[in-house]
Amino acid sequence: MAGTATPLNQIRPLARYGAVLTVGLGICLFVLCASPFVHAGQRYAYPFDAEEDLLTQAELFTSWHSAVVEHANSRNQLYACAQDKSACRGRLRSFNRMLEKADTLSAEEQIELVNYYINRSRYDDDHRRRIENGSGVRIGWQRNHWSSLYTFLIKGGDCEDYASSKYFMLRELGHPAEDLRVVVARSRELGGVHAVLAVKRPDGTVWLLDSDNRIRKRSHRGYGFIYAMNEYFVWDHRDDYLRP
Amino acid sequence: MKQKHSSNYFVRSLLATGAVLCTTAVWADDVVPVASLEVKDRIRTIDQINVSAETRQVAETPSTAAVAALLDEAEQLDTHATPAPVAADPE
Repeated sequence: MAGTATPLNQIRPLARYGAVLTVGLGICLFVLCASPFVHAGQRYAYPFDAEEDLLTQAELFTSWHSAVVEHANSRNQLYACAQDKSACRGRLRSFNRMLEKADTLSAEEQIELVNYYINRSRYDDDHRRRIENGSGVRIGWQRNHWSSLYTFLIKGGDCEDYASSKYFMLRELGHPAEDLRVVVARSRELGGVHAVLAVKRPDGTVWLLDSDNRIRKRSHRGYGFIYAMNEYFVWDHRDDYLRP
Repeated sequence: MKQKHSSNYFVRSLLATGAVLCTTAVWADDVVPVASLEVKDRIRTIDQINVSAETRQVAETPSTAAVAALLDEAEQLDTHATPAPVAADPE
């Protein structure tokens, strides 16, 4: 019926504007702030089989591929300690002992051993590294430095080095590359971008090996996956829109 | 007349909200579709992401005695690791 008063009509015009605008802004802010974690929450497990996220070959990701090459070139130094005790710097002696005795463990025990063993290494925040030309003049900064296993056992490292070293150590134990990925993700708990190792098990479950000693075997809630790589490929797990 | 006024207020409120949304979108002009970037550009944007979250270790117990024993052995070896001996001069 025309002219029937409604509750909204009883509120002053300015207040009505304010109310609608506030509700609209609130919805926008909620969507903007929650969307990274909404997507993370929707995929509680790391999407190991999301082949649509496959981006390119690992060689194109030069900072990571350098670590893969460095690891391959330093394997002799890793094992030299077993023959020559003078070559046993840092944690090389315990590393060789772990590899020697890990044959007696099951695959699950090996994964657990590697997680704990690597996590005991010295934490060293590598910050940014200078990139210099041949004359020693700085020409740029390298944000992340992926460490080889040999360098990590000597000097320690930070979270991306923990993840890459677990990858290389499990590879040395014979775990196939297609079941392993170094994963970079936003960590809600740590409030920043973090690196972990994802291990795919024969039953299809995915274990996340974190540097906090926990192995997450069921829910991976709290991680917003960004990208991942093994020695052969790189996967891009970002949403449709890039958020710097 | 009152219905006309209420619909005008509603339309104006929607327009105001839309204006705010558009302003936000323009301000966030570095939000670009990932799929439209070339592979090399996507790798470059990946490499620019700073992996810097600090870790905090929690106390966890190995699930089996075999793993615990190996870790203890590793700790013993790391604790007693000695530097490489220096060769003595022959007399």
